[in-house]
Amino acid sequence: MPTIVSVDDSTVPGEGSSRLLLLVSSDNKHIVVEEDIMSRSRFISKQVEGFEATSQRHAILLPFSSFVLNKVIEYCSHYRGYYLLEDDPDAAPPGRSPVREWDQEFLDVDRNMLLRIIKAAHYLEIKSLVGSCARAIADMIRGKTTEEMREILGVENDFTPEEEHSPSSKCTG
Amino acid sequence: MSHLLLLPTEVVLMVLEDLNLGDLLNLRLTCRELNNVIKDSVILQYKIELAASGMVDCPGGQLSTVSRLEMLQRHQRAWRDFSVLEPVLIPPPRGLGENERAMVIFSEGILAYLYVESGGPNSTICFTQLPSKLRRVDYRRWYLHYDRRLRLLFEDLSIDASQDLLLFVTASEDRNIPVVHVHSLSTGHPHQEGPVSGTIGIEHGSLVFPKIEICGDYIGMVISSDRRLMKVSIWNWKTGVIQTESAVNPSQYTTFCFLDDSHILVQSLPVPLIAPAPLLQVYNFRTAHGLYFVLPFTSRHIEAHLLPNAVHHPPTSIGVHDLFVTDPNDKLVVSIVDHQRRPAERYELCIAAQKLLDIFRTERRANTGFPWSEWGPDAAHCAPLRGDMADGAYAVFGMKTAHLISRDGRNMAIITDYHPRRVKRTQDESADWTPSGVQRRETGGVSEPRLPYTVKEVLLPEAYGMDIFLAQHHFYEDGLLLQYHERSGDEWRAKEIWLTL
Repeated sequence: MPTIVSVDDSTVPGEGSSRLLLLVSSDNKHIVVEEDIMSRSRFISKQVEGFEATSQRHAILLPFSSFVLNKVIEYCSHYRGYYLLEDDPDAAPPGRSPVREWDQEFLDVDRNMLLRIIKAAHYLEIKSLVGSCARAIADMIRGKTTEEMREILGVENDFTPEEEHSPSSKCTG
Repeated sequence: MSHLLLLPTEVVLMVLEDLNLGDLLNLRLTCRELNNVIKDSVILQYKIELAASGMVDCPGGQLSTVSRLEMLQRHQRAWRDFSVLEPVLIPPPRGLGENERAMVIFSEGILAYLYVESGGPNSTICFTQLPSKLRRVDYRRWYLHYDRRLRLLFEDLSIDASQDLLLFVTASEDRNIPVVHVHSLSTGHPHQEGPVSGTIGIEHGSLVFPKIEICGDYIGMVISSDRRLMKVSIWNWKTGVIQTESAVNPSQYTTFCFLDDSHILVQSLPVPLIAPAPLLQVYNFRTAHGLYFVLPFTSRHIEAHLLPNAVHHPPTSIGVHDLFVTDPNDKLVVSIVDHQRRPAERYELCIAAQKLLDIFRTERRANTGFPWSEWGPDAAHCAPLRGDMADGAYAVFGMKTAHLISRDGRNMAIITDYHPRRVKRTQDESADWTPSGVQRRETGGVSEPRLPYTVKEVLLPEAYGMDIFLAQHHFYEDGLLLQYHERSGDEWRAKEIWLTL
């Protein structure tokens, strides 16, 4: 359990007036990051609103490893200052996330990492990143046979042979 | 348990919503839990149902996905069972004299009557929106009036209800060139997206055949400067600028239809010595590149016509809010060929427009003909029409065709469906539709189909005094529109009846 530390309201020289946040990962790594980089995360934004209401700033504990957290911070740094429609809490949600080339390269990681990133993005409420991850996962499954999908997703076939061939196990009506 | 399933359900659904039908069907067989996730999601069920039915959703509107899914299932069941055909007799339009004839055209569920009002100064177009219970469309009627002096050539009128587009042709007074007027179907004023002048002057020749085909931003017509030289001319109706003209076809008769918003299919009939057999040409009118497909017919097959297929662009802009429509990409190309022989033999050739385009995209041979044996037998359905079907009217919508025939004094519609997924589903679930024969039958060089289909015979409601041989019909999302003539005394009176599911 990390100790809760107060972060003073210092500013970073040359980087405008952005305040700093202390994020603590599940493997107890302390990561200092500028507040406006993380403002894309609804979860972090709500925390910051809480700080302002109580005038009390403290570290934010996150339930995933620093490895994953750094990846998410890399994503947020890349899009610092960019407007992404999916992350606008006031905008109507778009049907599907647009394809962003940088994201595709950024998410060219192994399956487990991808699942960890999407979980972290969901926790942090970064909709654009969840959308891009969902698309990347769908791309892995797309065009595969049932057997290949089981391999990719690491699932066991738990249907009985009869069920597998009976129309009742199907869900179209 | 899958790692995927450790994620919150809403995230899993985001992944699944990105997949297409085939992937979802494979995925739900991987394990019980994923199957349940798919089964429990209305959005995914709606998506699966749309794909399995060959339909696409029209976004917007007030209805929830739950209601849409329910209505779509009802719509598909109605098509499979064909249980109720509710006749709606279309009342004659206002101001049309009893013995006057109107010209009738049909597009996207809108019926248009054109006539000169008896005693009045106007040419009138009466529009009727055909009702549908299955897709919640109401009956509606409205009128446009044009000054008779405009010299409206009634045959030269086309509508595309999905774009609120009305095209009609007049002859310019001074130089006698045809002028296409680009108007709004709902207001009768020049179309807001059309050229500023509201008209397009066709200075390159005269229109050979009346019908102007419409596809998205483009319109196409067969024009000729000389009786034996015909070409297909494609224009952008929004800018009024010509896009391209197809190569001149040495042909007695040229017809064409749009395959999509870049390609047309041109059919030319044989000219002795020059072109010994009917040909189909897929032509990309943006790149001016084409490929000839040789048909399995000889010069003894003379009459040939291509049945144009409705090109639709959801959603419509005239107040109807469509929920879902037949996938515009699923189009059947139908060519009817008559054999010059007594008694005449009639062949039908059906092929999916998608298939023709696929072949066109991969086949890099230049403008030499692509022999039938290399593209046809595996992709097309080509066979002589069954005896009692040879005389009847033929209509096509999406991947379905409908024949009207009379058998033992009863009028019937024979509905044939070529959509691969619906065919499969129908064969699994309903014994009522007859699957196509799997045997291959050689008939004078023309072989039995590889393109699978299902057929259903539907009895038409009686007591309309209808002579089926004088009837025409159209085919749409929710039923059949019959145009027939009823005898009253010495007169034959034209009637329209909408048989809706």
